[in-house]
Amino acid sequence: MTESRLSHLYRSSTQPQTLSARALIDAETAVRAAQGRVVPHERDEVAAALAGSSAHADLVQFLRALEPASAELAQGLARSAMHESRESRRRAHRRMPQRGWQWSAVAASLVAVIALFVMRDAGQPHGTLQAQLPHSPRADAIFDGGLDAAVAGHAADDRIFHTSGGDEVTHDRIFSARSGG
Amino acid sequence: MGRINDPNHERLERLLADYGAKLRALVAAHGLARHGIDADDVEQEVRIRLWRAIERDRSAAFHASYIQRVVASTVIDALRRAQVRATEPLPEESDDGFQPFPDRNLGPEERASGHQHVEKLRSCLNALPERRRLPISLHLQGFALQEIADIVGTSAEAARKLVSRGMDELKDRLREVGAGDFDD
Repeated sequence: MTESRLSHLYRSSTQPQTLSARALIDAETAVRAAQGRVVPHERDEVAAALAGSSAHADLVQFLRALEPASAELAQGLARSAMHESRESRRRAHRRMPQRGWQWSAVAASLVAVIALFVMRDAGQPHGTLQAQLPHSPRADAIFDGGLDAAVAGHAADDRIFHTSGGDEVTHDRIFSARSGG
Repeated sequence: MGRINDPNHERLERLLADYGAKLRALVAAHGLARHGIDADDVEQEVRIRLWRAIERDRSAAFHASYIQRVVASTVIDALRRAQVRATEPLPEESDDGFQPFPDRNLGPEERASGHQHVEKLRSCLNALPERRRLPISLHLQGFALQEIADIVGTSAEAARKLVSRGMDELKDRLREVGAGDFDD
C-alpha cells in the first residue's frame, strides 16, 4: 500500500461527512482558512471540520488555488472602475461647455430685451417731462428767486391764514361756522 | 440595449469570462464534482453574483477577498443543495450511508477489501495521540505542510515533524493490524 492510496482511502471515508455532519464552515471562515488566517478561538473547530470532511478540505484547497485569479480579477475590476469614473468625468466636462453656451445665450437674450425696451422708451414723446423741459424758461426755479416771487404773487389766494386786514376773521373759511353748512 | 456597445460593459464581460474559465478549471481540478458540484453551474452563479455586485456600484473597487467570499458562498450553497439531493440512500450504499469507493468499476471483492482497509485506517488513526492525529488527518486530506501549520497554528517545521512521526506511527500500526506493507 502506498501513502497516496492511504490518502485516497481516508478521503473516501470522509466524503460523506459533508457540511452538516461536522462543524459547518461558512464562506468567511473558508476564505480565512484558505488564506492561512484561522481565528484562534475557531481553530479547533475549523481544523476538525477540514480533517473530517473532504468537502470542506476540497473547498479550502480550491479557494487557495483560486486566490491569484481572484486577485487578478479584483485588479481588473479596479482598473475598469477607474476607467468608468474617468469616462463619466470626461462626459461631464463635455457637457459643461454646452451648458455655458446655453447660459450665455440666455444672458444675451436678456440684454437684448432690455435694450429693446430702452430704445422703445427713448423713441416715444414722454407726457409731462418731455413737454416741460424745452419750454421751461429757467433751469432752476428754486434758487433763482423766481419761486419766492411767484409765491408772493399768489399770496392773496391763501384763504386759510389770510385776514382781510384788521380784526376781520370772517374770511377764514375753514374755521368759519358756516363752512360746516 | 445600449450596454451591448458599451466598452466598459464589454471589458467587464471579458474579465468575468476569463475568471469564469479559471474557476471552472479549478473546480474540476480539485475534484469538487465528486461532492455533487457542477463546475458550469458554479461558474454561472458566481458570474451572476459578481455582476449584481458590480451593477450596484460600477465605480466600486472589489477586494480579492470579497470575490473569494462570493465563490465560497456559491460553492457552499451548491454543496448544501447536493447534500439535500443525496438524502435518499442509493441501493449500493452501505448501512451507515458511507460508500468509500464510488467507482462503479470496482468489483464486490475490491469493495469489501476497501471497507476493511478503511475500518483499519480509522481505528489506527484513532489510536494516535491527539496532537498527531489532526496533522495526520489534514495531511491525508491533501493539505501541504505550510497549510497544516496555518490551520493547526504552529510552525511549518513543527508541522513537518508531527506529520513525519505521525505517519511512521500510523504505518506501523497498520502493519500490526495486517493492513499491508508500505512501499513508499
